[in-house]
Amino acid sequence: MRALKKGNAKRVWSLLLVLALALSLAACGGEKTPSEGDGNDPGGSEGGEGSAYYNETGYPICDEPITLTMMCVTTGNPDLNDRIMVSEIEKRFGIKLDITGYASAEEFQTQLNLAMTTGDLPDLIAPCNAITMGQMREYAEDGYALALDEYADLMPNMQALMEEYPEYEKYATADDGHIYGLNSIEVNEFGRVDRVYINNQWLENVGMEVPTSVDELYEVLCAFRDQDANGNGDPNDEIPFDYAASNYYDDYMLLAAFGLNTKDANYILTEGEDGTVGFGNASENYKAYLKYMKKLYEEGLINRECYVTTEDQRNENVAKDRTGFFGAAAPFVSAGQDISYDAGFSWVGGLTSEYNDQRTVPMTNTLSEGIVMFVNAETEYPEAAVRFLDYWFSEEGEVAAQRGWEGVTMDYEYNEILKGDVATLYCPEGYESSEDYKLNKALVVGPFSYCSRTYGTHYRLLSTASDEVMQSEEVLDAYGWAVLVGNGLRQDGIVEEEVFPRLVYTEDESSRRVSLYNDLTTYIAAQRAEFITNPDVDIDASWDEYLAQLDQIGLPELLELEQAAYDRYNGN
Amino acid sequence: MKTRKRNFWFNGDKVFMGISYVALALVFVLTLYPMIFVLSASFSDPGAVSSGEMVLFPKEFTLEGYRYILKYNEIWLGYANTIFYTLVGTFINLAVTLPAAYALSRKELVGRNLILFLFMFTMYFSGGLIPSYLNANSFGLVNTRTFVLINGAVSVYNLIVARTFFSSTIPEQLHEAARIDGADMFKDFFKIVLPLSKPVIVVLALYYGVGHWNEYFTSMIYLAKRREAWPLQLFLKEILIQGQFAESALMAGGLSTEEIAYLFKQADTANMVKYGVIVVSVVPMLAIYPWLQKYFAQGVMLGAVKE
Repeated sequence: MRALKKGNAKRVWSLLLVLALALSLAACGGEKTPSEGDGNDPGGSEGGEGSAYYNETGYPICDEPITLTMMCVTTGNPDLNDRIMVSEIEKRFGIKLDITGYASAEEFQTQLNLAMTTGDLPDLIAPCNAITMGQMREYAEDGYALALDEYADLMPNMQALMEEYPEYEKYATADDGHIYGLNSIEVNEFGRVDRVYINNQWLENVGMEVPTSVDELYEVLCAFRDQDANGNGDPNDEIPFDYAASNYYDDYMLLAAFGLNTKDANYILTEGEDGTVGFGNASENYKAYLKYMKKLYEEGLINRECYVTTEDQRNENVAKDRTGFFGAAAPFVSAGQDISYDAGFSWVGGLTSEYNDQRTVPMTNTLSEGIVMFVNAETEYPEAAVRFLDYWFSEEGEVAAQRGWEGVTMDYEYNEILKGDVATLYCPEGYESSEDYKLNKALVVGPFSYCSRTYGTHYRLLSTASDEVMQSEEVLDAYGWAVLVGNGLRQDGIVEEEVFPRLVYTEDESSRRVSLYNDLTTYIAAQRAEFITNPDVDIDASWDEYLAQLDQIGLPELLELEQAAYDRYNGN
Repeated sequence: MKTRKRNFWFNGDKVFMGISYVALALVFVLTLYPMIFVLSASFSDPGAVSSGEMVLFPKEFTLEGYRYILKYNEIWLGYANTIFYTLVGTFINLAVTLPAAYALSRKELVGRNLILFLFMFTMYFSGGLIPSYLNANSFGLVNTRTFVLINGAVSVYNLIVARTFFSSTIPEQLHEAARIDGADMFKDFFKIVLPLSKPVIVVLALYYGVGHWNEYFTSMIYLAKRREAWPLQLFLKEILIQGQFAESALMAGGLSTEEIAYLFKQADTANMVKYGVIVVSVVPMLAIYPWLQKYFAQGVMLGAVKE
């Protein structure tokens, strides 16, 4: 009996071994085909290289369809080749895209490094802001990136944009005079303003107005704390100010109140009258801001756990009506409600203080810090690639990148309230919203939307609408937060001010800057939390020590470097 | 009375047992709590979980998460792939590890110490990601299932476990007897060694199997363009990333409010689904363990009663 069993076991084992070998061999053989297919590609295209495979103007770009490979970071499902946009691009431009999408910036970065070392870099690389200008400079130096400016003749739309917004060319041009990567540009004021909201019902319950100065804000927050502001019968469950403590809208708004216009609370560069670069985090204004925040924190006006709460918890606080004052994309987003939910809030901004008597609203840089797209220097089809990229700089291209094409994924619908046409995405059956349709079926979101000049959107209509329209209830219900922001900006005495411009660094500067910047901002962020939350730390007493530490980390060297870049920027 | 009591309490064995029980109870709670938490969270409202209201038992009971998982086809695709990688991969592992361990356990093998040294060298030093990738790429193995199956086919640690088992539990005399009866090396391996080594085979299969089941890094790097070949863990990772994506996207800027609103909704779904997916992905391993436990016990006994 037993012997028989053992014999069986042996037979099974040897059989399985043979199977394993056969299987792995078969698998090897089977999977080789796609790579052989890849090998054929360059051969096929060589024939087209001699004659003009592309048209210099007009569309399609290629009469005989070509294939461009692309890698990108994407939101939503990274399986991108079956998007409507991809087939539409093939139809319109004669360019067949073969896209590999990555769901996170880290994954993209790993695959980009691997692609560079194996020589498998695709034709188009769309990091969608996942790589910095400094990295772009290195890749260019190593010969991976095509100099786009050499094809400027084929890019009339990009040239037109640069004429209109000279800062684009200034920032995109590396110190060797070439443009390697494309940044994104956003000139939509609604997207460039810090969004901090206060709950109207809470204000009404405590009998106060929307604050316009830091002192008024302090009083409002005290009232929120002491009274039953949310009206649920419990005067002690209110979080007056749900501070994000993470370099976010609420910080920028408060820093601006103390005269520091920035979008990086840990690294505030300021511009002196004589063109010198100053450091806001070492200024008296910043000290006053810290003292103010410390006061709010010590008096229980700020959420005690602000340094450990997550975005989910902050959203939950808005949804459960536990907080009356917070920074967020929009109240309805945080609360998970319909957009009409925003009508119950007001925008807060342009506060004044003893350091700043002008109601100032800092405007985010129009240009993205990172790179959205670049072209492989070794691509077979540089002309077609640059012509393709140029399309998205046009008005039609901008709308297409964000909503697709008329009659394909969207229609222009006349908006009765705003008296104008708005490109409105379809929402076919089977999709919960038009955003769902857009992100998962219609478009490849990210790589092509480097221009945001509000073409075809309701923002364009909102920014020119009359005060009467902006004050109406129906427009508020329909467009929520944007109307709050728009009305906020239209208040008397509000001044919009650009923050410190983005600068271009040389390769040496850039690598030195990265490490100094990281050390310095890490220290400043930690020290900020320490100043605000530690009751044993006296800001005045430790200030000199703080300044000495900044110097020791390398602030003087960093400022020297920024000054050099800034001088070049102004000299251009 | 007093002395009796003292004896009772200070009896060495009892103290030892007492400490053991306390320590074990602690470890038990520490390992059990995350499991119960995940299980409860999978049946709770995601809001209650993220706000910290759910501590031990489900709060605001819901089956939405599981309902969603049932409809989410890619989870099942990943499931099928993972089962494939686990079964076939483990089989390949055993098919190469066991013969190698057998050969290295035999004194007749010339230079076996050198070979073992070369094996062990790889335990401490490896080429790193990029050279490995270049290597795989030149063999045409990138974006193939084959690579995931054969990558790391031999774990040197497991190889040493098996080699030690073979040389310490199977007496030399048995091999000699087999030889005298006319068995060659293959016969010795298949007829004598393997049938006597069930415990170690099971242990290795389990080590390798769990490794395949949990593996995601290799697939993430080497299967980037083959979504249809992704194991469950990669889809799970994607769901977890979606849960955090809205937040990081919000901080990074560059998205329209409509997009952010949608991403938050997606994050809600992801938060709802993620614990359910963890449960679904862990259950098979949990179900297999008890069945294999007897072999673990047997393995220990075999070592103890030998000689």
